[in-house]
Amino acid sequence: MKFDNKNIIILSLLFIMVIGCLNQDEIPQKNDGTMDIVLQTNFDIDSLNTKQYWTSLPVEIFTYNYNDYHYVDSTDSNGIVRFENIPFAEYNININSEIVVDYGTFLDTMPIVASGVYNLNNMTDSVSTIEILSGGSNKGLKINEIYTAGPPNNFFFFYDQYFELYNSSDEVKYLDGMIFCRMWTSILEVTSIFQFPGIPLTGTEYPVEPGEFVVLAQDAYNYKDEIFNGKASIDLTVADWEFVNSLDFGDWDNPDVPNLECIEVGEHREFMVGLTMDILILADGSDVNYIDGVDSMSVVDGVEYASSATHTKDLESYVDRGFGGVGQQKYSGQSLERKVAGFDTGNSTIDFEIISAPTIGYQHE
Amino acid sequence: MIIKYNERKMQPIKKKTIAIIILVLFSFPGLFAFENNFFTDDSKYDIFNSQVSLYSITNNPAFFKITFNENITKYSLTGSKKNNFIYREYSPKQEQNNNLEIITSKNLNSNSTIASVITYNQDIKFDMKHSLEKDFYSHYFSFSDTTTGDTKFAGPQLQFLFNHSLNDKIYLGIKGNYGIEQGLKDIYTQCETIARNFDVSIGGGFQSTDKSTVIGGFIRYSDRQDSYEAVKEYMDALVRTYVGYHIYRPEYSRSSNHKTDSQKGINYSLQFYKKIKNLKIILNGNYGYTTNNIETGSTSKPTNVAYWQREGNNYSSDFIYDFGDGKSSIRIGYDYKKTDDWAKNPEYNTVVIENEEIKNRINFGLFMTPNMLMKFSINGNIENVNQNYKEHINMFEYTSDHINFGTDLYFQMQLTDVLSLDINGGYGKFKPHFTWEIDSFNEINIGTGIERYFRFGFVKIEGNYTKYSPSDGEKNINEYQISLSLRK
Repeated sequence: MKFDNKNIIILSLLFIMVIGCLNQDEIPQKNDGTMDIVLQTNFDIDSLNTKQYWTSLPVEIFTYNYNDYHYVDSTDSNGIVRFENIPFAEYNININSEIVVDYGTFLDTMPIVASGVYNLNNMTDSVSTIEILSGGSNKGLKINEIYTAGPPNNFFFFYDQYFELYNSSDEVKYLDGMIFCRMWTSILEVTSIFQFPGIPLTGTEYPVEPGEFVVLAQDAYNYKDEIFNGKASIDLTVADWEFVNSLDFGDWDNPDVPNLECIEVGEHREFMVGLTMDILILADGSDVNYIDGVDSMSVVDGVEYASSATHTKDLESYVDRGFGGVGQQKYSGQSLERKVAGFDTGNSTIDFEIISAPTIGYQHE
Repeated sequence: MIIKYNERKMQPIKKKTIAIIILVLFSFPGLFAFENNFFTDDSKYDIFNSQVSLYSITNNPAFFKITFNENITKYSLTGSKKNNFIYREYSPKQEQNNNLEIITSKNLNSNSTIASVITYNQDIKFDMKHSLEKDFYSHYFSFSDTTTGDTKFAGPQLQFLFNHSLNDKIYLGIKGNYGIEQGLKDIYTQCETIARNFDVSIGGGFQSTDKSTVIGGFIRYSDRQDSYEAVKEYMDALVRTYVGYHIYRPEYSRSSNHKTDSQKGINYSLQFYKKIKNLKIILNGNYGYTTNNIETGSTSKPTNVAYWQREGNNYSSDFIYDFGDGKSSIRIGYDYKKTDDWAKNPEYNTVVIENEEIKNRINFGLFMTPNMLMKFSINGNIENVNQNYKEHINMFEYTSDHINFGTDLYFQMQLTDVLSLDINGGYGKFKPHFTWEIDSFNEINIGTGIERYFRFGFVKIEGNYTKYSPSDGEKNINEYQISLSLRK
């Protein structure tokens, strides 16, 4: 190859071709910056849409886009709340409170919940409406708390998982023969299945009184003192039940705590679920043939949770219309609990919230 | 055109040279840099000449041969330690740098010169809080977690320059720079950083027959990519991406968080040199821009969190008057530098950060060789800096209009036939970046070196001490540096 003018020109052209691939962008016309959000609250029960109930409802907005942007304000007598000069971002809206309802002959408290995402396309509208769900329509035995994320630690410890059930109905419910399952992506795909002792549907040996909590521990062990020297984790010897797989010879079995037994043939693993993403089902036990999943008619409650807001919803919507736990961190000691004990709209996105520490056998405030 | 060189003699050299050029240019398309300054500031070759030169001002590879024409090789080993008794929130408390460098320049024949700088650099940042970046504050979209740990960065860098004159008047030059650097934080999230760079300049120049006039220009293309991987975060190690210096995006919880930083840039530069009797005039103009795409998230589903563009120009004029048979000179120069930054949120197409910085600087210097045994120089500069920085998301604005100045002194003396001593010192006052929250720093540095001639070359040992003291406060930053070199 001669180092002549031709080669120099070719090299120079190739160089210009390389740099010619680079384009500059035009600076956008609008600056990022502040925005106003004006929300009109609206109850799902028409009779509540009066000044009496609209006034002073606490409304919280927060964003996952940036740090430390969390605002709380109250509605005026028209049910309107304004957030002005807040950073431009996508905001989640949350109402979790209770109102005192006048039933004529008596007064009673009613939990109210609203949840939504403020759509930035609404910027042209002056007011956005947020629907408030009153009461929580579905009563019964509920999966009330899911503690799976693990305590703060740096050695990937998450074995202090537990699940809390709550009877939100006015009648006694029975755990006899019920099954508690970890699912894959649908109620048709069982990953782990454990069963309470007793006869399904008709057994009355293991009652749950109205308003009672029941704690199901992965293992009824005192992790707090035995592993973390009292500095982290929890004492699960207070659990009402523990999951035991008799084929897992290393599985801890507390003799003082009754067991849910694994009923999957040949399964050697103990009950263990995803730290910040999974699906749990509580079913009445009328269908224990897990090969084809769980019969939808037998499902008592189901919850899907995932820490990522971009998670693709898996579980059938007639079991759970959403998923809870967005933003939950692994190894954080955080727990996922219903906003009000037993509160169930059939949508875990609305029903659950992340709490900073587990509440074994009681409801957070 | 008549090409005046011995073609038969040049043949093997050409093959090697062109092979390297092609390797650098095309074997690494889209390669990257960890030391791509926006405007090139290449003073490595100034070991050949302690006076300000055409090449050191313009950085046009075509002018290397005009400025330096000695064969030289220098090996140096440098170690430095910096104690930051005051530091910014996300800066290290202590820094250590070890550097091995080999600088060579060889005249292949009367037409061609080749030069290279091979460097292996190791940087250790001790007790660095939160930052997963080498320098948290030099980037608007820094990656961080919530741990404090030590991070070690290390890697080689190769700079190559080839300068060729087609005839007595026309000069061509190419300069390439390729480097790779790896960093690892010693605590979870054990963030691993890989930075790669590619930087190439092609320049041309014309020199008049009487060598009194030189006109030239070059185009520079730079390409840089930084990649970060922070793994297995837990409560105490939340991964975040800052937008400016006050607000951050929490990254979603996942087994590993990634960030990639892809920067490309172009500079165009024109130069003019004129010698009128003892007066040299050097005019230099430079325009450039870089584009930078920042993505975070997982490798399979990255999110484009920001686009950052920097545009700027740099004009300088230097007047150098030689006296004392050209062994002494006096210099005065003016330097105008303007950089404009803006960054947008690609999702909403809105501007999130804007920064404008204008520097007007006057330089002056005196270089003297009173006799064969002594060299002496004194330099000074004073600059006006005007800055306007805005973060739009949380409405932060910083404006500043301030003066910095600096002076330095250099003295070299031949003690014996084979032994020489040099001493240098400097003093300056400057206002640091606003994130320091300090009005100004006083900078003092002092250094000395002793060089001895042996049959195999010149061996030099140097020591340097620098101290930065804030105008208000007793604590300071100090840096010790020791260097051993062999020059042939």
